[in-house]
Amino acid sequence: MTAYLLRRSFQTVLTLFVMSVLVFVGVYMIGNPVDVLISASATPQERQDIIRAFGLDQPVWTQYWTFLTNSLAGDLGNSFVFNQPALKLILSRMPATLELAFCALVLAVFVGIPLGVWAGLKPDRLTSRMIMTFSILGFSLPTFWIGLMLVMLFSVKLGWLPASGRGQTVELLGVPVSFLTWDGLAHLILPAINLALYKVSLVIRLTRAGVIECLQMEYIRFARAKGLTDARIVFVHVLKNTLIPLITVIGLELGSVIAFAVVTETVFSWPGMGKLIIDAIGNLDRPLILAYLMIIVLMFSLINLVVDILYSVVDPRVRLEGGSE
Amino acid sequence: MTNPALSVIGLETCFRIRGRMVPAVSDVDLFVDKGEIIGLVGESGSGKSVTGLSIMGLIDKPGEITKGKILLNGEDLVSAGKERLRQIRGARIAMIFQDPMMTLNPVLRIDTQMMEALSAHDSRIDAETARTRCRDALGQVGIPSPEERLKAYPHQFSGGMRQRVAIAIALLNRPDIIIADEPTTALDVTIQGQILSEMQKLCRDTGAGLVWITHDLTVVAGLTTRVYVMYGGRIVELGAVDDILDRPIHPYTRGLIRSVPWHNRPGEPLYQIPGMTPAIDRMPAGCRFHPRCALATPECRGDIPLSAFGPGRFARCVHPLVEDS
Ligand SMILES: Nc1ncnc2c1ncn2[C@@H]1O[C@H](COP(=O)(O)OP(=O)(O)O)[C@@H](O)[C@H]1O
Ligand SMILES: [Mg+2]
Repeated sequence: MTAYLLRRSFQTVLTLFVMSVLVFVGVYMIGNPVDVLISASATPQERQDIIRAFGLDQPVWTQYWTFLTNSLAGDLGNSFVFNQPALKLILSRMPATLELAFCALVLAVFVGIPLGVWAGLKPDRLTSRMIMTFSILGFSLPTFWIGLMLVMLFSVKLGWLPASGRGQTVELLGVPVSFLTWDGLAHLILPAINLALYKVSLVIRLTRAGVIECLQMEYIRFARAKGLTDARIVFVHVLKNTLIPLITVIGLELGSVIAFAVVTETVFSWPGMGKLIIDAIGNLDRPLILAYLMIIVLMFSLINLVVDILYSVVDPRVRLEGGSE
Repeated sequence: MTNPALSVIGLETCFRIRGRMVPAVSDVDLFVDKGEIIGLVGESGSGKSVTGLSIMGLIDKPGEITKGKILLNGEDLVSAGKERLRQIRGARIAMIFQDPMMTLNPVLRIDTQMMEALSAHDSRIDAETARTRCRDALGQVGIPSPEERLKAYPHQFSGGMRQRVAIAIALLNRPDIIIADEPTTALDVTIQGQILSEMQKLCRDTGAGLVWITHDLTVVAGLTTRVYVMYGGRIVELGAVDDILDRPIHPYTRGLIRSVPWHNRPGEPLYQIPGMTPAIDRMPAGCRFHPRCALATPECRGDIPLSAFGPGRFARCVHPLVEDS
């Protein structure tokens, strides 16, 4: 187990390194942040000062070396735009994104799995066909368009739910959250549904395919030959076999929900990391982009690790390689 | 004469093929006395499994039993309700399938899969009693250290051991009839032999009747009392096992016997019946074997009933290989 964890940590560090090189080179090639940051009316002297202050006068590998040594000490640099530590900026926005992402994922699981199981068990029913049609729509309609439609319908026309912001938050273990107040929950519903829709569709399709495949297995026939009730066959034999592979997908989707909450956050002015990174890219705010991506990479690695461990716990056939008894 | 434990009368089971209901087996009559072992023999595709599954009530829609009766201790299973069938399945009739690698659920422990077979038919059974019975059943089929093996998962067993577990599960509720659908075909020859003789002993001990389905005549020779030979979804010949092996009546039976390696002189190529079993929607009229038969004449295209060739000896052929006695 220790060997396994060490190997995974090493992989993560390697990924971080490669990613940071790519981002450095990428941002360097796209353009000069100074052109974006400094107003046209600045004097050449002011310009020189700022360039020096950001270290942009150094050759790119020197800049990278500075970044590397600093980041090993835990300092990812200051944002060019906000002139605050990039890491702190991102961490202050993270709870909002995480809350949204978790809500979306919980929705995807608790809506997607039951619908998928039903559609898999009774593929010919009208209800199953409706579920599948819904999932095709969820897959193919663009998230921002659905977001706008939700705002139009529920906020503008019906006036039931607010269209932007997080609403009232309370501190939970020192982190501000919305879902514990009525106002916060009202603000959370639409963005969470918007972000969840694609995932719900995905979970429905995967669950349905898994159930249909599982029902054809010989062990299901044997289970029926034992005289088990339909309920036992579905809830124990079919569900367990279907859900195990789903764990991987859902786990990995958590990463992508976090990373790609950008669109939903933009539509609903949700004050999360996504909005921050969009602005950072627009300003070529390299420290902020780097810090954001490093956090995302770390998060993906961590989620992957947790998923792998979880998988080995629930599926008796899987043992983590490199691990010992 | 006492009533047989199981009798099948005029069974016809159809499947939907291109929108039409096509019989896969028809006119099947057979019976099994208490404690008797019968063989159901035929090439692949001759309808053996469909017969077995029909008896179990495991034919899935759009397949259906369209004619006939299946009497278990006098009770008709074709007209029985769904819940009644479930109560009978696994308790009064059990079934074992061909591929031991696939019959056990890979993600459930052996004890779970055994104990549920007990609690499905006796909801008041306590865990302690159930466990003891499962352990004894594993011991009975020759699994070493059954107490520990109860906690294992299927992938921790070899193919032969998995089939023993399946047999133990089938025996748990002391059924009157066991249907064994080619349970040793996927195993190597030495293990085949062991399982065969153990099954014989277990049926003698428990008084269960056994329907042994196989395509391999060598298997039935030492095991069964009577044999039913199947082709194209019909019984084409039946009788005492030695009688059938020594003096086959139907040219198809003779072909089956000749294609067994033991009849082969060294150096001579193994005999094969020319042609293949037709698909169920391409069945020829009259004797279904006549297109492949060397003795076929135009008469073979007419309706051919099962006619007697001595006590307990029947065949469906107009060119019998032995004279009517
Ligand atoms: N569910 C099904 N749907 C359509 N045809 C089937 C089905 N099950 C079996 N058949 C057909 O019935 C015939 C007999 O099959 P089966 O009983 O499995 O043969 P075997 O003697 O090898 O066990 C085959 O032609 C097979 O294709
Ligand atoms: Mg078969």
